[in-house]
Amino acid sequence: MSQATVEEAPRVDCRVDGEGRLRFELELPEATAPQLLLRLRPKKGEEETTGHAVELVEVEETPGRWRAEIGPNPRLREGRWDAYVLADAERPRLRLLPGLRDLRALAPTAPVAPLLSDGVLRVRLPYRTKDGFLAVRAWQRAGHAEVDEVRPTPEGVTVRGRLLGAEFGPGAAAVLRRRGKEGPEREAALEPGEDGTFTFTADYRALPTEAGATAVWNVFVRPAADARPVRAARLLDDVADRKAVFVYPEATLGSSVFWPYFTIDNDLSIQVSPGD
Amino acid sequence: MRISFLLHNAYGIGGTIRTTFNLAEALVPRHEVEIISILRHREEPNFSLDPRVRLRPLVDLRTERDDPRHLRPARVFPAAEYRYSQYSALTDERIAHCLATLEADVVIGTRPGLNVHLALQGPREAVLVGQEHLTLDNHPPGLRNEMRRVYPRLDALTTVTHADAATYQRKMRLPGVRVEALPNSVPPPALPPADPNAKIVVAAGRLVRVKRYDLLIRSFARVAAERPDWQLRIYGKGEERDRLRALINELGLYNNVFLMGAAPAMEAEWVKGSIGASTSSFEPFGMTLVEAMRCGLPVVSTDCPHGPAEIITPGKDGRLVPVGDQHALGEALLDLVQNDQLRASMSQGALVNSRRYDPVPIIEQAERLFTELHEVKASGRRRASLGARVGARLVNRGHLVRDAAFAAAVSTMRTVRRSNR
Repeated sequence: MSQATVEEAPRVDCRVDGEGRLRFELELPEATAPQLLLRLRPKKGEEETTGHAVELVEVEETPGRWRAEIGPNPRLREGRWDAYVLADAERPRLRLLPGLRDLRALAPTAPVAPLLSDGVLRVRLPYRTKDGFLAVRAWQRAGHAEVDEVRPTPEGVTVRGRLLGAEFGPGAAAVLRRRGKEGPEREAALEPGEDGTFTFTADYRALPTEAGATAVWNVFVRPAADARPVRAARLLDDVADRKAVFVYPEATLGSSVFWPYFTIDNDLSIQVSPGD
Repeated sequence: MRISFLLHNAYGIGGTIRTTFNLAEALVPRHEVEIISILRHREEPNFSLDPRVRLRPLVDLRTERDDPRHLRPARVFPAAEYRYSQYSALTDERIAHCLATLEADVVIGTRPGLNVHLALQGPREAVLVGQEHLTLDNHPPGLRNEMRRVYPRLDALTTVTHADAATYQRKMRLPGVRVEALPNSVPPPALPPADPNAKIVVAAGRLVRVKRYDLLIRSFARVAAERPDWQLRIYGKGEERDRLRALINELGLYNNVFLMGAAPAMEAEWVKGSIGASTSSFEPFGMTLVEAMRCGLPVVSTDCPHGPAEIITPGKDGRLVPVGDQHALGEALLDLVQNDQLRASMSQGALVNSRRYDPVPIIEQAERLFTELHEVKASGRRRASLGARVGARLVNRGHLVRDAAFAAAVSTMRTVRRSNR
């Protein structure tokens, strides 16, 4: 655990450029060979296992200001990476506060070409944590269905998007899988379009409901009959916590309320809960 | 000079706090500057403050909220002031003591109630400056009367617009008080300007009725219908949030209009957009307009009292539309959305024209004002012209009588209502 308080932690500016490179800059007037540390946040109660230290280089024109750039490497595993600075070897690491986060290159209307290699999508998004520190949200997906538009109807929800890192073949479909061990699955017809685009409508009436119980159905796209389904999510813009921002209306059918929403990981799901 | 500001609560969030911090920080390299925060409710201020500016809280709500003196009503702080319920016998006592012992050359009040304290209790050897961050016309008659009674003891009164300064000169009897417009300042952004080709309209402010975000959302329906690739992002939080969310759902705009929540650093959000928007029905200054323009965004705004018309040059760096006119607002937005060339040239206009709100010229003006008044005070040449005072009194009589009648009517109504309970 970091001992740093908000008052003593340095602020770091960061920027994502058109090629998806991350750049961090901060003032460290007394440092000699500082490093930036990204540490994968472990699950509650578990030990830290993974971190990447990156060398900070003094910015020529402004002494005391240090910069680190992260290109395609190191690859960040999916999760939340907390940012620290190691000012020098003797001093404890300090957790960093966010300064200006220039993420305009990720804004939805100026899209960066997604970072894809060997069919794996990698997204890295610097964000402000709930307790006010800087962290990097990373997604790493072998095959991904990017959701561009969610349009709820009285009986279902129509989703428009693009398939990345996989190709459509015969037997493509949308798959809804109820959360929990060996939950049931339902399929919905999917129409592939040009360049990997797709549209499907999930009909709420096709989802079995249990009186009084709340269930969550995760949404997948199966590119072909024998292909592994990939998760539908919205990852390609500047919004790190989408759940409270991209909010869609509910629909009531019979005694159940259906609500399409983005999870805390920006994945698309449908919640089914008992009505009044 | 030793300069002290009186601020309601330096630990909160708002335009007056931000602009006071900006001014204090700009003055601190050459002067001894402190901010006296009447109230304090948390350890650190929300906005960062240069450590050279001394911050001195008078009443700490974390420990003194239940002090018996804080439960008794204030007598000096005027009852007709908006913040009256947050003031008390304890704030009266602390402010009086603070002003009685204050060693300063210039003391600046930042809201009507504190200007009243300053006029009545400010050190006579110091220059006393009252700042108006709202507008005179919007104040209740009872407050205007109290201001009229005590403001003549101030040395200067600053408003944030020329229009409001003119109103003060027309409607208040302030002989010997220098009335001057001192706009809020916005520092140059650290980030490069916005790209005019972005497709996001950005608005920022508390989600409250006076900001009329309902109007903005309704007018954006036209934009979304014509250009579904455009987004509207509204930053801020507030009591209207659920109602605005319901409106977005009702209009089916959930793929285009987003309530983003509060952003700690708006600058990084402005630069993602290419048009700024403000739809308030009342905006004494309009800090967000200037912030957006400094980032290179042309702004579409309602022509409400008083700020927008002084900030925006229509056709050059933005558009003004009548207050509450959804159709005109939609037209103005769509016009900019559909015309890339116009957006690009207005973006340049916004960058150039907003430089006049840079702290450098604004602080020069403030410093000049404070220094001149200080010199006048030091040489005892104050209040030279008695003739001007008499003239002003005659001219402004009408307003005085009218406000007194309103104030009486209001207090009668309150009495009636109370007895009906």
